[in-house]
Amino acid sequence: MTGSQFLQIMKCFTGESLRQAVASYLFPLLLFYSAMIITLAATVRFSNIPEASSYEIAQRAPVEEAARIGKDELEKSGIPLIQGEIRLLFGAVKIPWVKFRENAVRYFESMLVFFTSDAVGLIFALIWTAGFIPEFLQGFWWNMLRLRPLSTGFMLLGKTFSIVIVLSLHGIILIGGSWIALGIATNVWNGLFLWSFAILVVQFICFYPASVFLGTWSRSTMVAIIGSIAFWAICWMVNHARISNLSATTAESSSGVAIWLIEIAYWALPKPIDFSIILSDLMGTIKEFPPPTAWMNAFETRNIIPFASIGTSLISSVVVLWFSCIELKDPIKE
Amino acid sequence: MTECILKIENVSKAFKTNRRSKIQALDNICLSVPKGAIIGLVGSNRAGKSTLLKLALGLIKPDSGSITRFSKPVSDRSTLKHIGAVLESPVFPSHLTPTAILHILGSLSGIATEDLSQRIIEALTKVGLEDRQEQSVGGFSRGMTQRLLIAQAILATPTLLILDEPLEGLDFDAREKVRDLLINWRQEGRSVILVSHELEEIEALCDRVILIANGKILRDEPIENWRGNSQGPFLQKAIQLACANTTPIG
Repeated sequence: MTGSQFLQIMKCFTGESLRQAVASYLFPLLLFYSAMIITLAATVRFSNIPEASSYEIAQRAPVEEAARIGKDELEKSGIPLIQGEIRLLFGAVKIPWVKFRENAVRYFESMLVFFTSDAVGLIFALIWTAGFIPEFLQGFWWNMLRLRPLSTGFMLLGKTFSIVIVLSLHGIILIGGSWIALGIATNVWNGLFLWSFAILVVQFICFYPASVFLGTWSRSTMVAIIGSIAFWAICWMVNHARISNLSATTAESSSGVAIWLIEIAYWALPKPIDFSIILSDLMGTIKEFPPPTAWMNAFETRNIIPFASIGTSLISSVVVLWFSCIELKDPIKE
Repeated sequence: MTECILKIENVSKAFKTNRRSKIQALDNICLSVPKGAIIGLVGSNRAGKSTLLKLALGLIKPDSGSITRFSKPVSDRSTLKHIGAVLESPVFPSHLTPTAILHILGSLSGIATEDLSQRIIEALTKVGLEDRQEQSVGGFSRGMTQRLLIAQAILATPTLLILDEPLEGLDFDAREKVRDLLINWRQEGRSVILVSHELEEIEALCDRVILIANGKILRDEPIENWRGNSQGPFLQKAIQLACANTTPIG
């Protein structure tokens, strides 16, 4: 196969997956979800929240400066405390705010990533894409594809990566759209928020192969949906158990065997909590809006190593994809 | 000696109906397909014709025996680039258009990128779908779907066409087109295995006719032997006679 033929095949699969995505019965729901997130970002308004540049004190908001030097000293210096509001949904939701505008935007973004690229966003993506592989492998169409002189494993991988591309396009619209909407609404353009796109795609690459395997094995969308959510939940629990063990006292910790089993499972599986922490760090919000204490301790004591965490998660996804290709080879199933 | 492009030797295949019993779909089948021949495969429903085609295409594995295509084992997927197939009960993804479907299948068949668009237009024109290129197949009639199925089979101009009921659902004009296509195919030195209940088509097109019943080949002879001294349609009567004389071949 030449390079241009390979590109042609990937282009075909991507076009097919795009059409499949648009024709999916979940697509209107996805559009609604994306519109809701972007609209929420567009409705952010600030009342009495200044930009940091309008204050002469270095980096710290007045409330933090007051904590450092005392409220009386702050008053003597003539620096007013901020008493503002973040308003969402055209004023329907009001959140008191005592820091700068930039802090407010980062706060909002750290909430937003939960719905775009962290737990909820990822699970939504897994649900949306769960039916793609079972549909691809459905009786007649799959037989048509199997009659081509290419390995079935290659076709499955090509289809899988085309779905990753489609998901990435969705990510660009959702995350890019939210960033632009928030930037226009607040006049604060925080480029670090765009790391959430990278984390969404990498997490999806790590977790989607489980859906691919289940879809290949069962040829059922429902099995792929339930199974991939269950897989994510198991990964989350293993990740959480490992972090808990790291921060537990001797009396609280699990037995030696359990610790080892959890450690092995941790390295073998994708790590959703690690991804959350890595994303917070990339966005620069990990100290400003820290995660739960145990998670923060695990990160600060270097028990979570980003490259190792991401690398081993990707390796596990390659292994699962390999099993999917093996599962596909049995012509007796057809 | 004419080159043999498909050889099936002592092939048997059974399917489980439940835990304890199975149906013998094919029993010790032997046949060969030379280059440049149109072979007709006839028999009643559940005789084993479609099973035989699926085995030849490698979609299912035989329980015993061997199958070679172009002198290579059936597991060698590279030989598929020389084969086009029309299978039963076509259901294409409804969100795709004929152009998109042929683009995917053509790319996967190894057709060069620069040739693909032209080939797609030619294939769709040959089956009369040139004005439906960008219409989603979800809105296609049975006949249009069948024509698309034929278009994808001929797209890569294969050496061997395997056709399972290709005329099903087609109107008179479309049947004429397919008939002409198959005649041209043979003149170009390509081969066809044609499964059809339309015995007039089999009589008109095929060089050789194989009768399958209950998973066995009852008769495998050139069309002239089937015709005998008949002037008009002959195949139906000849098949009835062959089934009455139930000694299978092989």
